[in-house]
Amino acid sequence: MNSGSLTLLPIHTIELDKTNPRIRRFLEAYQGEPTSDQIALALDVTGGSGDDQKGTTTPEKLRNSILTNRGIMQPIIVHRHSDGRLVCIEGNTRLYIYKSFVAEDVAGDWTMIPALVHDELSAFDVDAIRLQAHLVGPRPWDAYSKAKYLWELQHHQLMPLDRIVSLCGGSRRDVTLAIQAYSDMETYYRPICDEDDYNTEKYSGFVELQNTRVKDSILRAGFSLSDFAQWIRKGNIKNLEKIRQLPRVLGDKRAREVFIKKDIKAALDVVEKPELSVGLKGATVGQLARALTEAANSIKIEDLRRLQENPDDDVVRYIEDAFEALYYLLKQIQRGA
Amino acid sequence: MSGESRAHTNLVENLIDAVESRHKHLRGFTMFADHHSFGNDRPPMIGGFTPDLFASDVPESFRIIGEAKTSLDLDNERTHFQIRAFLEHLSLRPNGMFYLAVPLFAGPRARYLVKSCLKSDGTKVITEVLTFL
Repeated sequence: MNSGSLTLLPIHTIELDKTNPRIRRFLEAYQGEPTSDQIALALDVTGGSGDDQKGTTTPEKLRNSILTNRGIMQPIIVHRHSDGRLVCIEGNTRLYIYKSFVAEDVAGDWTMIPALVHDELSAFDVDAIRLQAHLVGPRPWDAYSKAKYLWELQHHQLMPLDRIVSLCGGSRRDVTLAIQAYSDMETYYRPICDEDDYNTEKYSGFVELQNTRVKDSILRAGFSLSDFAQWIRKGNIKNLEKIRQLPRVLGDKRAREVFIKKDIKAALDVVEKPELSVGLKGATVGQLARALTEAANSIKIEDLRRLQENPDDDVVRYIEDAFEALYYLLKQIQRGA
Repeated sequence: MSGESRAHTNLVENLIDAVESRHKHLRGFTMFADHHSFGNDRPPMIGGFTPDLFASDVPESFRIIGEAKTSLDLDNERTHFQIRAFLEHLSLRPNGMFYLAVPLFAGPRARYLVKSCLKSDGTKVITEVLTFL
């Protein structure tokens, strides 16, 4: 395969590759020539801005990024057949976005697209290009490196935040979350680590920290973000996904103590299995049911309001568990009657 | 759109303009609002409620929550819970600001409401009622 020639091609001369696996997979369900809308669906360019999956770029972000940059950074790859047909073998989504810009009369010149043109490729060559582009692909940066770069753009190079957001495809939430998470890690975690102790894989923990419920629960319980960094360093939270459970743990006095002494796993065990007094343990279901009915009917208005305001409160969860268990028990009893 | 929701949208738009004109010059300022012009950049949920506006700088040194209420909405229980949740959230951080946008004639009632929702423990949240015609 030769190295191809780099050129600007008029988009109306290039065909979308209907044999491309991504498009073909979708079009196999259709008979005849696919419409433009069907190809759009196949390329998922109508898919909106849903969350990234495994670091891939959503069509919406790609579209916004192309708009902001007034073009694409990497040329598409085009196969010029012996009969002169030009078929896009890599970059169909980008080509489709250019075509949609022209159709929608988006400001700017979208009629020409940068392309690397290969003449008369063999089927083997086409497969090689597709495999390298989609199965090997460029090595994406890890989340920490992306955040560090965004932070440096904003903090050191003083690039306005709006500009960074536009260049990244328009998700203000993703950009601000990454910068804030990186900033918190630098501010609270780096100072307590030795040089060889600083673990960039802990970055995802600082992303979890940006959840409003998590951060509020830490501050509400009288801790600081420095304490959070210490928990991460000391291993009180080994599985960083468990950070989402911090509001439950920190809201429960005993679980909180266990968490500080041991770790979040042990603390969650306490939350899952609250200690019952000897008296309660010895009570029958009938006695407990009567006591529960009495307590529910005489709940104070301020307690009710507190639970309404705090749907994550453990008490709400216990009530839901009890409701479910009693409902199931009653069904069993009625079935036997 | 009903008259009531139109009135609320107008208040949200006025609130966005007011917060922008006061704070946008600050470096790293970023804003999320429950308004179609913000697309997916909606405010986060806070204490079980989603405010109409959320803003801060990045990295964060201040945080702003804005809420718009029509006259009819001002006196209900949900509004009390909402404002209390927002104020409690802001009180956990330094430099918290809460803006309540209301119609002009609802200003005194709104000020009383915010005052009654503020805890008497010396919480240092800056609050302001913004009134619009």
